[in-house]
Amino acid sequence: MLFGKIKSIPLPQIVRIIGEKSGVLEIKSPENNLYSFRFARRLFLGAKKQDNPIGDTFALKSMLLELSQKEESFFIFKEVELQEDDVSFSLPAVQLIIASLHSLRTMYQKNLPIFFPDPETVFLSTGNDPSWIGSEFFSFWIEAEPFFAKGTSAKELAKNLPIELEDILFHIYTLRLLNMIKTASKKRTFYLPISDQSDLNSIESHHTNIHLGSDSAAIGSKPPPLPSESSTTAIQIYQSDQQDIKKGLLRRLIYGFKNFFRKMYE
Amino acid sequence: MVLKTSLERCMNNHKNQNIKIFVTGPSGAGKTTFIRSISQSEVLTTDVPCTNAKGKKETTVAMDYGSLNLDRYAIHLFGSPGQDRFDFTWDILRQGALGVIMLVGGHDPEQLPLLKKMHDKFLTELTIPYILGVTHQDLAEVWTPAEVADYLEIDPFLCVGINALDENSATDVLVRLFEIIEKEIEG
Ligand SMILES: Nc1nc2c(ncn2[C@@H]2O[C@H](COP(=O)(O)OP(=O)(O)O)[C@@H](O)[C@H]2O)c(=O)[nH]1
Ligand SMILES: [Mg+2]
Repeated sequence: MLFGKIKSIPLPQIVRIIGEKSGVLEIKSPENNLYSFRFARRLFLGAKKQDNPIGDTFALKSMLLELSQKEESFFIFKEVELQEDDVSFSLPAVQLIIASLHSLRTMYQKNLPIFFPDPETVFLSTGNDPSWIGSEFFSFWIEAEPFFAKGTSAKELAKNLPIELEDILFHIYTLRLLNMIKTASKKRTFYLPISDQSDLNSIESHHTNIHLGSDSAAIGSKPPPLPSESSTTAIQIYQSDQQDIKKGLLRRLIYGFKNFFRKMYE
Repeated sequence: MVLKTSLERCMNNHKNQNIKIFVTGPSGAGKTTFIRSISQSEVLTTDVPCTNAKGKKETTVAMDYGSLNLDRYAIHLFGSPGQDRFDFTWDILRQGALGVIMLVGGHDPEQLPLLKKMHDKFLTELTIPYILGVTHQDLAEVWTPAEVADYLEIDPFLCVGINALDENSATDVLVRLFEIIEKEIEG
């Protein structure tokens, strides 16, 4: 079930997740206004505010802007087959993504919303044709493309381009939704960190609140550490009790486990 | 400090039979619950009472640890604390782990942006195999694992839906992780 608040998953991203699915996206604002959008097979078919159909692109744009400012609005996507007779737009859904990204930009000129990527995450060009993404996004693309071709992060771009980090993060978010870039995922490699049992025993034998950080004064102190920024430094231990073995669980795990050990040592 | 070094050392020293797996994810994802369900028994907890906007009653200020023994292997599960402390976990991760389990609460989409941030960064910085567990699948209103896979733009095989309160269901995540590692061994 796709649902949530548009402040954590904004409209352009919802449309991207909807992808191929057909159905109605309903967004309810805190004042109880109901906005709805209809989709079928990557086409945007039409929108309504309350019961009023949105007739043209101007009305659509102002509705998108209005919505982007109502961050606390709640969305839910209802998957249904839609009749094609009730169609006022029939635009590729990606056009709705572009239009709603423009409204988002107005909203997040200064601050960094939670849904932007981490500045150190590395992105790579997908090699897709950039000609359709719209002039504003395109001008950023022209400058950043040589970096994306080899893989780059917002942090690196901010060092090399005369653009603020906030703006770069917005553009990375945008280019990603428009399928121009993707995460530069590393190949997963298998590495077995087999460790010394005695070291593990030494950890377990302390039983509780083993502090790893530099604030060693906290060791042995009576009150539990508060969940503040600096207190994330203890180990919580669920000690294993050999008598209390969960048999069914073990049988299932051992099966998968033995297979890969056999392969490793072959 | 001493323990930090000893923890780091135990992650490097190779002897035998000890497998380390890290469990991470946003606060409220179900990390503590998951480790409790999977581990053979629970002795201590350092969750402390707290109140936040989401009404979560307890939070892990410490690292969770649980273990289980399989045949002659011991699996050690280390859970990161609930706050936005992934960098801390990653330092330890760099010392080596068999795999990473990322959890997210399917009932609470507000956890998703932080999960995505963390997942994407992890993907571009580390090479350890990972699996995603979408918890709270026992509830009616949840994001399914397939929907979370669409959101993260990853292979749905990497996303498993679980009820972290149930040991059998929680085990599905570990089983899938082993399957993924097995595939990687095959190349
Ligand atoms: N119904 C249900 N509740 C869960 C599940 N996983 C965790 N919980 C509950 O969600 C809350 C937060 O879980 P916790 O393990 O503390 O999350 P953590 O912050 O990631 O360690 C607790 O009240 C758990 O009992 C699940 O799969 N289903
Ligand atoms: Mg916890």
